Order: sequence, then C-alpha cells, then structure tokens
Amino acid sequence: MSDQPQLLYKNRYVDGIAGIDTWIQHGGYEAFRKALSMTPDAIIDEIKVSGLRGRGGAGFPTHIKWSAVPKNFDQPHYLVINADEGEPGTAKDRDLMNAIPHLLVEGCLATMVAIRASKCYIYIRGEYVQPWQSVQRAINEAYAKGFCGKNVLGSGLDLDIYTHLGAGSYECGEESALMSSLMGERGMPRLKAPSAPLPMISGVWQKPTVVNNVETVATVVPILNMGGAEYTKIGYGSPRSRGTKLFSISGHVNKPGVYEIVLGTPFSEVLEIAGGVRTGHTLKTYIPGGSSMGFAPPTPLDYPFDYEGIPASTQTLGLGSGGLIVMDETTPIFPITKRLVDFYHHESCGKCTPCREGLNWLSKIYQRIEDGGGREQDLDLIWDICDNIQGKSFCALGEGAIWPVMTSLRLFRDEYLSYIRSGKDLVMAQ
Amino acid sequence: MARKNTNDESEISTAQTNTSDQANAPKESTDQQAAQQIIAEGSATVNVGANPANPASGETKPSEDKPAPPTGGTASVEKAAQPEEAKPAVASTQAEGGAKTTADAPRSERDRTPQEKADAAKVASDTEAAKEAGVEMLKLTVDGVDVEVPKGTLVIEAAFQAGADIPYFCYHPRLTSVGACRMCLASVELEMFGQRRASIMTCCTVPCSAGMVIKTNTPDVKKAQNGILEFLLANHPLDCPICDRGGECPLQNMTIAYGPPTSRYIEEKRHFPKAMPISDYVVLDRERCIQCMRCTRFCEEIAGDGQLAILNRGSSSEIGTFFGHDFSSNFSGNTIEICPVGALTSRSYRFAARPWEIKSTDSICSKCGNGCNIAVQSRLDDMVRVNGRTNEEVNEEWTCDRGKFGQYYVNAKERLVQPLIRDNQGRLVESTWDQALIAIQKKIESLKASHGADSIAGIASTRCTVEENYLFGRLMRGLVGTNNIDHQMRQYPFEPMQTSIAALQEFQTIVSVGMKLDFDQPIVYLRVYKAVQKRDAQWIKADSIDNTVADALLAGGEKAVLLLPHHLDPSEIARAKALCARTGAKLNVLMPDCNSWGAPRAGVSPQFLPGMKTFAEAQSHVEKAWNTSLPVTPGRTTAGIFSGAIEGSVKMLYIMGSDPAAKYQDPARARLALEAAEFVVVQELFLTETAKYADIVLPAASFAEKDGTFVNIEGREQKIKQALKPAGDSRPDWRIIADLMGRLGTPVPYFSARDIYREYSRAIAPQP
Amino acid sequence: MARFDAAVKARLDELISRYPTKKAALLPSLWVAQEVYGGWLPEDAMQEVADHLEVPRAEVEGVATFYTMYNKEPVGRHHIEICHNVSCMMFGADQLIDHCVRGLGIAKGETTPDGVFTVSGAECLGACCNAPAVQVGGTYYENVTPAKMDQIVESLKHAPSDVAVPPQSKMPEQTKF
Repeated sequence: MSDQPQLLYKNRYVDGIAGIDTWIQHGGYEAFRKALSMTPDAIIDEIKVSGLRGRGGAGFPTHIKWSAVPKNFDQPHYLVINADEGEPGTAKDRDLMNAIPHLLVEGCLATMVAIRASKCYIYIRGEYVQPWQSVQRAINEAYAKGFCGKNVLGSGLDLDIYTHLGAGSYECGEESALMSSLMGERGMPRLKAPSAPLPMISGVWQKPTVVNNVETVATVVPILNMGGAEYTKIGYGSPRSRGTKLFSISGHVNKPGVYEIVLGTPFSEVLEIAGGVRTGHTLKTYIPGGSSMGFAPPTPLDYPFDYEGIPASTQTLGLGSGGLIVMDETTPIFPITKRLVDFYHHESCGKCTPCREGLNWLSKIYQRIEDGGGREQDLDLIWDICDNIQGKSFCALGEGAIWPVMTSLRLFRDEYLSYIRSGKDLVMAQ
Repeated sequence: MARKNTNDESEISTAQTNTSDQANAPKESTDQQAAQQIIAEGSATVNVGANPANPASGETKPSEDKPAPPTGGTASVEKAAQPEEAKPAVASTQAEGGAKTTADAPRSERDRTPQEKADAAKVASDTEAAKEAGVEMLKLTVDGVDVEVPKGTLVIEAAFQAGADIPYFCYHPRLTSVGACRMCLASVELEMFGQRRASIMTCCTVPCSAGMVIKTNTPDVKKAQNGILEFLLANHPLDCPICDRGGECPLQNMTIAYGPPTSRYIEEKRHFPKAMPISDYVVLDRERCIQCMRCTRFCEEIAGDGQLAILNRGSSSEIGTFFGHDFSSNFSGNTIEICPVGALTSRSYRFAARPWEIKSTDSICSKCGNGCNIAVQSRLDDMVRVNGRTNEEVNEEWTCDRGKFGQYYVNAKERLVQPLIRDNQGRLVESTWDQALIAIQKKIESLKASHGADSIAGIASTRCTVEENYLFGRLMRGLVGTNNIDHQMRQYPFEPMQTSIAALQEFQTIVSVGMKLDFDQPIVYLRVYKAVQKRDAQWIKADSIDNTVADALLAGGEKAVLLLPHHLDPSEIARAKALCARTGAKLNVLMPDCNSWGAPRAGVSPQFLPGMKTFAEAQSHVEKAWNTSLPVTPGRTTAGIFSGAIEGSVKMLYIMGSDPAAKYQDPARARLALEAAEFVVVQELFLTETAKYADIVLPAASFAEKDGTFVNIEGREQKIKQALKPAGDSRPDWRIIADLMGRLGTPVPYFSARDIYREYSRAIAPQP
Repeated sequence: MARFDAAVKARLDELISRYPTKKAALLPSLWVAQEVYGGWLPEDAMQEVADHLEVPRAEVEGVATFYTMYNKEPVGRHHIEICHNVSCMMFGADQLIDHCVRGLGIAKGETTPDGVFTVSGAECLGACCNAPAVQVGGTYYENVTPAKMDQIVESLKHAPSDVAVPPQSKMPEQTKF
C-alpha cells in the first residue's frame, strides 16, 4: 500500500484538515491561485494532458465536457457538482466531503475558472446531512477568506458556490435527472443527444452547464498542483486510465474502507489493500464498481483494475463509481439480487415503460420465488424481461438494474434453481 | 357533386387577417451539432451520459455486451411462454391467434384511431408550412422509402410521411416530446460522435438528420415493440368490454397490431379504486393509465394551469390532482380526447355509446364567439358527446369545457316541442304550427293596417345563423315593411379584429383588459398562453385602459396587441383605438357570441342592409334582389324598440332567439317593454324569461339540429351541419321565418339553409 | 391554517434568491415546510409552498411525493433509518431491523404510540465500508450491532430531535439573482 501515491488523500488524516487554516497550511488553494493565473483554455489543456476522466462512473474525458461550453457565452452559466452518491456499494464522496471538504471547494473554484462559470451548485443527496454541513462550512470559510464571492482575489471574477440538498432519490444521480431536480422538478431524466442539445450547450435553465462528480473536480486540484504531464506518469495500465481513484471497498474483506488507489493496480493487489478476503474464507464473487456493474466471477483476478482493464470475460459493465463489494462463499446470491431488484424497483422514476413496468414485474417474480412459488421457467422469463428492458429504457437506471440480475443468473443459476426447487438457498443448505 | 368539407368553406373576411402564421420554427436547437463535433474531435470512442451505471450512451448497447444466456435452458422467447400459463392479453380481440395481423405491412388507414389520423394530418400540415417557409430539406430513408423532410422534423414524423407505421402513445404533435412510453422504438442509423451506427431509438425524440436510415420492422424492433406492449399490459386491467375508450383506443389498436398474443404476466396486478370522478366532467381510472404524460403535459404546456400532475414515483406513479381536489381546469375535456387509453373518460359520455355506433357530424361550437370546430357525435338522435375537430386557424384541435360539456341542453327534456299560444285566461297552451303562424300573420296584417308597419319591431339574435338573421331581416324590411330591427343586447360598436386568432401567438406583448380570458374567450386564451409559453411573451392583465396599459403598448410597438371585451363603453373603445393607432399596436375587440358578426352582416341592424352596407350604398341593389321597395323611415335600435313599446308606439315585438328579459343590458326595462307590448312573438329553445311574456312561443331547433353559417370573432364564416332531428315539433328558425313569409304573401321557396345562403351571397355581392 | 409567518417567508425568499427561477427553490422550500409543519408535509404545507413559489400546487405535490425524504405522514421524533442495501445486508441489516422493531414493539415503517420512534429501512446510505449503518435525523451510526442498536434507542428516548433541516445554516453574503 505504501507504493500507492496519495494525491487526494494526501492530507486526509491530518488533524483539523476540514478547517480552512489547516488546509491552507498544507498547500490548500494553491491550485486555485494557479488556475486564476492561467487562461481558461490553458487549464482545459492541462486537464487534457492529464487525461482525467469522470470519476462518477461513466469515465467520460473531463476536458471534452469542459471545452464543449461555448467560449463567448456572456450570460451566467453553471457548474453543477454531482454529490448525489447513491450507487449501492459506493461511499467515497461522502468520505471526501466529510473529511476534506476544502478539496471539493477548491476543485469547484478551479473548474469554474476553466469553464468561465460564475455559479456552482453542489447537489448533495438529502441523506448526507453531515457531509452537507461539512461542505457548507467550508464554503462559508472560503467566502470569509475571499476565495468565493465578488472579485475573487482581485481577479475580477465573481464565483459563487451554493449547496443544494436532494430529498431521497437514487435517480437524481443521473446527470439529467439531477438537473431536473436542481430546477425544482421531479427527478426524472431529460432527453439527451441526439434528441436534445448536450447540457454543455443547454443544461440547467437552458444555459450551458457542466455536471461533474465530486471526485472529478477534487482531482483537478492535484492535477493543477503537479501539472498534467506529471499526473499521466501515475498509473500502471492503459494509457487512457491515468492517475488515482477513490475506491470504497466493502463486504467480506478484512479492512473495508475508502482507499485511494492508482488506476491499473492489479485487482488482486486492490483486494490486498483492503486486507484481503475475510480470513478463512474464499472469494465467491464481487461487484467491481457499484451494484449496477453486475457480479463478476472469482477468476481472473490478475488484471489491471482501471477503465479498460476489467476483462470482457467478467461480463460486468466495468469500473463504474469505484464501489467494490466483495462477497465470500457464505453469501447467498438470490437474496442479494432480490435486494438489488427491489432497490432499483423502488428507485425507478416511472418515466419510461420498460423500467417502470419491467422492474415491477421482476420484483414480483423475485418475491414469488422467495415465497416458494417459483417455477423453473421463471428463469427464462426473468432473462427475457431483462432483454426487453435492455437498450429500451430512457436512462441508464434500467440498464443498471438488469445487469446484476443477468450476471447473477449467468453465474449462479444453480442457486436460483435450488431456491425454486427446495425453497432454500444453496449456501444455507450447505 | 364533390362535397367540400367545412374547413375548405371557412374563409376569413376581415381584410387584416393574414393567415401566414404557422411558420413552424425548427423544433430542435442547432447547437447540438456543434457540440457533437467537439465531442467527435475529442475522442472517437467516448461515451456520453455521465451516469454511474452505464458506460454506453444510454440509448442502446451493442449486443456483444450482453452476457451469454444462462447455461442450461436457452429457451427462446416463444418457448418461455408455455401454453399452460398463457393468459389472454386482450380479452376478446386477441382470442384467435390467427386473427392477429402480422405487422409486416403497415396497418391500413381504417385500422387507425381518429387520434392517430389527426396527428398525422397535423404533421402533414406542419411539413407543408415548413416547406413553404423555405426550411432546409433533409433526405433520409424510412424502410427503404426515400423521403425529404424539413429540418427539425422528428423521425416519427418522417415515418408518417414515408407511410411507415410506427406505434406510439406518448408522442403528440402539439406537445413536447418526452420519449416516455418507448413504444415508437425503431432502428435508426445515424452519424453521432463521429461514428455511424444503427441503434434502437425512440423516433418521437430524435430529430431527422441527412442520410439517416430508419428501419421500423427489423426483428429487434419487433421484439422491442412486443416487449413494451407486454409491459404496458402487465398492470393494465384489460377491462375493454366496460371501457368507454374501447373501439377507439390506441392501446387496444396497437396491441392488436404489435402486441404479444399472450401475456406471461401471472402476478397480482396493480390496483386503484376504479372510476374516480375528479371533476364534474372527468372520471379517472388509474389502473388503465400507462403514464404517457399527455394529460400532464397538456395541462402544463397548452392550458397552462398545471392541474394534473404525476404523483409518487416508479411503479406507484399515478396521475392526480392536488390532494384530490377538483380538476377545475377550463380545458379538462381535452385530456379525455388525448388520453391514449381509457384512464381519463367523460362523465357525461359514460356508457352512453360505443364509438362504432356513433354518427359524427362536423359543426361549430355555439357557446362563444371563438368558433371552435367541433364534431357533434350522436347515437339514435341523442347527442352523446362533442369532440374537438382540427382547424389550425381557429382552435387547432382543442375545445374548452363549456364547448365540450355545455352542449347537452340539446337533449334536455325542458325543450319546447310544440308552438304555444296564450289563451284568453292568460295561459300558454300547446297548439299547432298552423294556428300559431296564422295568428301571427293576422296580427301583422291588422297592425300594419291600423298603426302602420313601424308599429312592429323585430329583435334577431347573435346566436342564430347568418341565414336565419338574413331571412328575418328580409321578413321585417321586405314584407312587414319596417326598419325596426336590431340584435344587440347592449349598444356596442362593430370593431373588426385587427389580427386573426392564430396570429395572436406571434405577439410579444399581449394586454387584455377587463376579461377572464380563459373563460370568456377560451381559444383566444390558448393562443395567448402559447405566446407566453413558447415565445416568452409578456401578458398583462388589466382592469381598465390605464397608464400601465398605455406604457406596455408603447413599449411593445408593433409587437403588441390589445384585447378588449365588446362591452366596454364605446368611448373607451374609441380611446383604445386611438392609442393603438399611435403606438402601432393591434386592437382586437372580442365579440361574445357565436354569431355576433354574422347578425350585423346579415343585415339585422337598423342602420345596415345585408353585408353591413348602409342604405346609401346598397338600397337599390337589395331592392332589386328582393324585388320590393325598402322602407325609408330610419329604424329603431333595441333601446328604441323598447322605448317605443313602453310609450305605446311599438305594438308588436317579434323576437327570434334572444332573451332580453334576462340578457338585455337593463333587463328591467326590457321586461317593462315586453309587458307593455300588445303582442309578443318569441322563437326559442326553452321557455325563457322573455318567452314567458310571449303571446305566441314558437319552438326552435338547436344548432345541432340545423344547417347554417356562423361568423366567429375574427370574421371567419364557418358552417354548422345538422346532426340530429329537431326535438319534437320544433323547427329551425329559418324554416319558421320562411313559412311565415309564405303566409304573408310572397311565396319564396326555401328548401334549405343553403338556398338562403345563396340568396344572401347575391344580396351582399358587390354591385357592378 | 397558514403557518408560514414573516420569518419563514424570509427564509424562503433567501432560498429563492439563490436560483434564477422561483421554482428551483422548491426542494429547499419543502425542507423548510417540513420543519415548520413538524416533520411532515400535510396538504396545507404544500399549498403554502405552492403559493409562495407560484408553482402549480399539483406540481408541488408531484415533487413532494417523488422524493422519499419528504414525509407524507407524521413520523416520530426520531426517525431511525436502517440501511438494508447490499453491503449492510451482508452484515445483518435485516436482522438489525427485526431486532429494532421488536424491541420497540412496532412493525417496520411504523411509529411508536408515544410518537418518539419511527423505524424504517433505507436504501444505500453511503456507509458501505462500515456496515451496517443507521441514520437517525442528521446523525450516522456505523458498524451497528443489535446491542449497539439498543444503546442508541435508549440514548435517544429522552433526547430532542436532531433533524438538521437543511438549509438552516446561515449563508454568507452571496450574489443574488
């Protein structure tokens, strides 16, 4: 673990780092000062060199988003921070906001300079009361020190940051639904390209809007501090997955927690960082990056853990949000999958037919199987329902919901059958 | 003989109303192309849609990404549906598997619901307008058919033009696209982010781009359509036999054409209380709802009252009003018509008829002056409902609730069905037409002999047709021989609208004075709200023509329009006219009734001959046309007629379709006059306040029971058509007048309203 | 009965000033209304928000019912939300919920007769690495065992609610729209 460079978490465990004075003592707001001394285009270039990709789950190159904002747009436009962390298994943004809120605030400010935005809304999920308090405190301190507000540090820029609390909806973590929610609407997703302009052209309130994940803008700070070229030197695997990323590792490991890990670190080593699989137990399956990514088989384990490295043979959707859930051989898969189906069913916004009706149906089938009314042909039915949702739902929630179902069915069909035949799950039966 | 339809006949006669609006702006921003280019430059293989879950672009995913099918049973879809559990999807229509149409060929025109036909017509007219406006054209291919569409056209609209059949529920050409129902999925091949690839997309959201290749019947698309319909029907109650929508239901239709023959759904369905009334007019059945959001979008975007909303979320979502309060919108009826299932139905139409038993007759609403195009739908000579009918120039396809639900008086038991004559004990007793008409004829003849023709006066109506008013004018002037004829219930100037109704949506500043626009002039309101909603227009509601109004008009200049009610003091209207002339704003004085313009045009004002011409202009022409000489004594206005009756110089009042005892600006004075007059004849539908004073009451036919012409507030002539047999022994007003004219000695053969209209046209024709 | 006095309205106006449209302040305003109305949103609360923000009231209800943290029914002084999603489930969240409700003599989703506790399951609380997690008001409890649960319940019995109704902190002077 010692060979893992800590960029975001460099000062994570310093006493009082949540306060602005300690933060500044440890080099805080230097990246922001540097950003102010650069032109917006130069900042974007720096990010381009660094190869930074969105840390929220999709891995979209950050500089492309930023440079899509019209250059000479003189009306107010927006930076929106997606702090609606709700993907089961993901706990990194909460830790970051709780412990080092100034990293987020500084990253927001630097990003605002780059995209010429004057307003930033940090959309924090409603459950995150403590992180919200922490971030709001940091913002207040930044105002007091003159990093926010009018004519920041004599630069002539007005930079305002507001926090906005959600109220309990997983769907609002989806970029366009988050924008709906920020505008005071039901958190339903909006049309995307090619059906509608990109948010960078017409986002919230029909103004150019960049939506970035908490960790993405936080990573801007070390990149500006060390330079984009230096940043690209960090990383083991793919040339397109550079730098470090926060992973929240939960489940059956000895030391669950949030770790900053270099992208491309072999997966087996990642497991070791979290203390390895529970002592005395063996790995059964794992979810690499938040529940929507699906279940992966216990082999292979020696691949580089980054955006490109996860082997296609795992048939998972990829790195996702970095929420790694490890399960050992004591874990019954059917109830876990049922739990996820119920979760996605509960969180489906109801806008589109496949997600609303399909997940409702799946949820009822899983309940029936649990209640002892399962039929063997239900497995084919489940598969076909998933197929009818896949690629047809409005946003990625439907897609994410069926992935754990399909992968679990593929890997653990015998457990399903055991449930259906004997009403017991295989793990308990043994 | 080729019959023209009503729209063709409707024409606008005020000079100012130029109808070159509808230049539909392209629907989508062009900015996105620019952004896509940026994206494309950045990386050729990136994914957009920063969502934690999905590295693909949200719309679709190449099939290689799919996990392999589960080991063991790789049953195909069909196999999974075991006959034992097979459950009929739609009760009766689907019983025979063989009867199910294979959707290889597009459904025939006959298989489409009226709603779909209206949508396609709207799209066609938009396309035409865009072509005329010189919008850039794009070439693309739909199912192998090359089509050319204006930029901004959606794929589904291009498919309409190519004759391809795409099923849909949530798409509506007048509402913003939401892509919610996912029914219109098709394979769309286009260039995006530098790559050309085909993927399954919703056709109602994707704008056409040049070179697109759209396929609506690939196996993937078929499977998708099948799957979506199975989902939609999973929780749908399938209570078609007792659903008012049955027979004209898009869900039912699409299921027949595209749905699975059986359902694999064996779970408990979602339940809500059935048939919940949410207002006096509308019944909600949430079990049938498919969450297409047409009604909520209508309330938000078209009516602007936001009274319906989706409550809760996910599979518990439901349509509702705020805590179950009344759905008190003035436009609620439209949500019934656009609902693609039987979730919103009409209380008054409930179980009244089945769509296939209905006779539908094109007509014009008689409830206000806007002249909405409607279809009067009847079963066995009972009006069962009124639906909106498309006329882009007037009501688009909407109606207000008064127009939709306020017409049932036609069926009322209280209708007059026999002529009534006052007997010597002062009671109105039933008689025959002959007795009544002879009595009137005798009275006219004796009064003319004893007191001269000017002792007789006629009051026509803004609710009767042009033909009836014209004939009434000819009766009074040509046969009785008096100019004592008017129709106004209060004195107001005849100020033509300076813009058309449709043009209102183009203004930037709209000022309305002293009106509750959404109630008084509902369709005008919809245009005004459209300007507010779509063009960010400013709408100022004032109580009087004060400084605020003047300032707004001044600031708005030619982009401003002032809307006034007809009942303002004439001096106020004159002042407003001067103000508008100074600022360049347009002035629209809005008339109240369905034929407020038709009555003066037909010549039932003391000062106007037919065609609103003065005696100086038209006397000789009309005398020639009528083959008689016109009286020259200036006629009395309504006020003059009542004064004359009170002082005794007017002995007989002949009132057609008006109710001055209730509606005259000074009802007490009208009653005094009716009381004083020696002889009062009233033609009416009901025993109104006025009719109670009558010596003879003649039962008239309603607008749904006769043919004729109405002229709306903007001066547009539109035809009403007979949908029902007249109630009892009642007769159309024109028929009554024609009969009386025959008795008075000039046998003029009028066999139809059309005959009268032809004569009216000649009478108002410009003289050579 | 209107409960929005001048002070509440001033709070709402301050919230409105942070956004370019009044409607955008809907979510924060509903939080304020929930606080003013004692932890839940009855019809009057939504009506008052709708009136103040000039948003159609049906839309306000639509928004309020979309988000799970706006309570549509009264809840206890302490709302115990036990995460039951995957990571917590693997460490006995379901048993924890059972233990908790049995101890309080209620069913999941119910409120104790004295109105002190409501217990419900919650979706992922973002504390996966310290499962199982429990949230009460604004406070997180992590690695909760049944014994720890009993202690938490005991300690809260007489404690005031610590619902941190956002946004209640004083905002610095910011540019207004």
